[in-house]
Amino acid sequence: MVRAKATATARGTATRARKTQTEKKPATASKAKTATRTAKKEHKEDQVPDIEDLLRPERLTISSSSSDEDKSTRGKATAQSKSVKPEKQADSQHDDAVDKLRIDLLTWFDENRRLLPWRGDRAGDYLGKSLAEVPEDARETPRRVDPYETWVSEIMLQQTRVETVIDYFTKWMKRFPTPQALAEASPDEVNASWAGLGYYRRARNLHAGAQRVTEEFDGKLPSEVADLLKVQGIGAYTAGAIASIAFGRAVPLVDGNVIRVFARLFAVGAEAKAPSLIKGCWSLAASLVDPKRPGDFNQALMELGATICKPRGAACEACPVRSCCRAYALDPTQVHEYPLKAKAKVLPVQTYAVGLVKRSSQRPDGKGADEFLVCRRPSTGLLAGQWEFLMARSATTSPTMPKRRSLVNDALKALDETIAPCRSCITEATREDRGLHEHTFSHLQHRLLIEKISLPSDRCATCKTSNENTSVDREDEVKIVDDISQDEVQVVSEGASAKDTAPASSEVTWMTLGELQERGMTASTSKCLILAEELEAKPTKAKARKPKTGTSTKKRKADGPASEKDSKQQQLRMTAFFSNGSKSKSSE
Amino acid sequence: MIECRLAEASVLKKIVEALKDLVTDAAFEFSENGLQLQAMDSSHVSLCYLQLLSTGFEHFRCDKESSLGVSLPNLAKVLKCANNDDTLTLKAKDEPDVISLVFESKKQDCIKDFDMKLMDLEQEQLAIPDTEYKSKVTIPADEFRRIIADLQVLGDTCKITAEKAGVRFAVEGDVGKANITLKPGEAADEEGGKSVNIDVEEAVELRFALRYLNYFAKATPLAESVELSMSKDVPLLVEYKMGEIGAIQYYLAPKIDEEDEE
Repeated sequence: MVRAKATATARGTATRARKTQTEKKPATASKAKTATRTAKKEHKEDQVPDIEDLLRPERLTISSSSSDEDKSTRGKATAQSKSVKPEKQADSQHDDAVDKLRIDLLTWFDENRRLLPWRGDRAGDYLGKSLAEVPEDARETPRRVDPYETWVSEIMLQQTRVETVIDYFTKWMKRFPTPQALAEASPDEVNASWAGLGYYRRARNLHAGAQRVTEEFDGKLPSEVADLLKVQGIGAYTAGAIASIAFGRAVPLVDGNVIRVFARLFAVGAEAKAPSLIKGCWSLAASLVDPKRPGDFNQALMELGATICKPRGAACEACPVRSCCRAYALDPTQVHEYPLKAKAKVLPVQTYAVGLVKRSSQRPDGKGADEFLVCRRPSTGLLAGQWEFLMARSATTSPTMPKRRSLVNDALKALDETIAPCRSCITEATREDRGLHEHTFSHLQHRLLIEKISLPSDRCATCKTSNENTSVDREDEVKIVDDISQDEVQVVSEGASAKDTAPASSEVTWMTLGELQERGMTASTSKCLILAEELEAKPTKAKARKPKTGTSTKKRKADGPASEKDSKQQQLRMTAFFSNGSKSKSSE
Repeated sequence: MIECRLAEASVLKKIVEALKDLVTDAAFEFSENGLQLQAMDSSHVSLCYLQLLSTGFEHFRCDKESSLGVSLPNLAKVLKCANNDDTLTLKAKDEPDVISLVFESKKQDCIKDFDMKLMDLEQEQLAIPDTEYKSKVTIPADEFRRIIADLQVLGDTCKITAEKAGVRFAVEGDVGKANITLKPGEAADEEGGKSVNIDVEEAVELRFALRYLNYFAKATPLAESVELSMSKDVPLLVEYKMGEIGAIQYYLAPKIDEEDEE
């Protein structure tokens, strides 16, 4: 109750755009202040800055140096120092403040930056950890980083957690060490290396970009923002990042972290996605970027946002630029209220009945293995080119079990009979409801109702014969087509013929778990598999999670099968908390 | 060389029983101050830390710091051969490749001598940070074991909430849900020490896998009471203090909600 009120008041303080909300609040001490401020909005001295203030960054000031006094004095000190300064003084004060901000931020970054492969830090136990946690004797000078590495890392880091990216990045650089190597790779290799990271367009753009760089820029990334912007997949942010980090150009960049940091530094009561705020941040970033170490400055800003100035629970006590932070000066307990949260969008929901068809099969090498029926998504659109289980769109959000079955049946019928499992093998006993998985994309939500169909190992007569006749072409990297023909052996060897036989949308085939993993699985696909097979979820690093699953919670029906992986929580590991002490025998 | 004697083999028996389900291979680190063991379970979700002080032994000698890697399930089997009231002596040479266990009956009329081969263990040791926990709860050890066992009936994740008014263990599963609340008892209450003691500076609520708590509860015979220490976003510390000889501590990483920021 109390908390709710405090939050509401802070929001009131933070925004004038939502005045109506403020007016409804019961009068409290800080509310009174808000009201006064709102009243003298037309005053230039208005101490709560607004978007316009951001566009005039000379407003940056340092609060009194003894910023650790109690709230009220701090608030007052800032208010005074901010409001009644003549223009000239304000200018010089602004310069000082900017210098201090740069120095503080860079000093902090030098000491506390995280060790990351794309910053030239060598692989080892300390990757992902802050430099401050690394013992002196284990520190190494980072190697030189190629602009291509910066490029790859920046693309991967979009919408994706650093912890997740580390592994993908390392693997990626091994597989495609140069833009040329990437340009020559097949789309499927690229796709497979990206699988699981989400936002697959990024991979396609990176691939296309590498080809462009190879053809047009002689295999070297251009160093100017204007040229960089010509490369596919490089937008304002990535261009700024590459130009400043890899080429030392004093250009700004703004990402979600930077927006948050700025919104708090200047206590701007705007929604994080508000175009005016984003625009303001760009011009502010341009005026603040350190001319001598632009790359480090930009990374420091983002790092601050990622490790200290977090969306929830800002660690203000550890913040190097706290003394310039207006949100902190206003109310240290409400820093996290900036920027304002956007109203939660209601995403359109698409419901699918998923058929996870599993059969045990005799591989050409004589070993038995479980295979899954997988389809490939069309090469454009959502999750383009990714493999998934049989999906049938449902018109209703909660189809009943019989309805789901008939949807899956229809999908099976639509399959080419050379691929589809023999229908007489699918009986009531082979079908099992494995619950629901919800996956949130940036613009829509998938509800996947998963049904597992395990084809019996002792097959019916038709299957038996077909199984003996099965010939498989395993050589072809991508288009593996099992041909289970009822009548005669028919070898489908090349993609062209596969396309002819497959249903309109895409290719369909049987794959073992290993093959599926090799080609890469999307977050949803692996989740379906985990739910269906009760597999152990892949061990992930501390807090690492599937990229941008958003609110990916699964609910299980009351009568669903019980399995530990099904719970809503993610189990953390000790290594996330306790650092690695070197094990020396002489230790006490 | 190493030579240390315990008046009762049962102590080590119980200790090994309390560890062997959680960790299979672990290294006993002997030093002049005593011996300690730190190990994580195979999935690195929990960590156990055993500390035995030299003063708790009847006789303790360690000339050179050594690390003795043993298979705990095998050690448990060997210890089963000892009677609870046998005296137990551990012996090892410098740079040992075996550890000797000698069990002597109280009347000195039976002496059993076992040698166990040691293993080379390259285990990573974690630095355990000193944490000021925001809430500490002491409850009778058997009560804790009971709670964990009861809750496992319904689910696999337990939400522990420590507040000034009491500590709550909650679980929600397919079958249903359960809440067990313990309120602080009067310290003077009946046969001393057997009550719940709650020291909460800040209410804390965390979720943990019951499976591991259940492993921890295997240490129940070692102590009257168990202390649970929690702070937001850090592992739970479950500590069994064994009088003057030392303590066994378990750390367990929490589970977090999967929905989170960008």
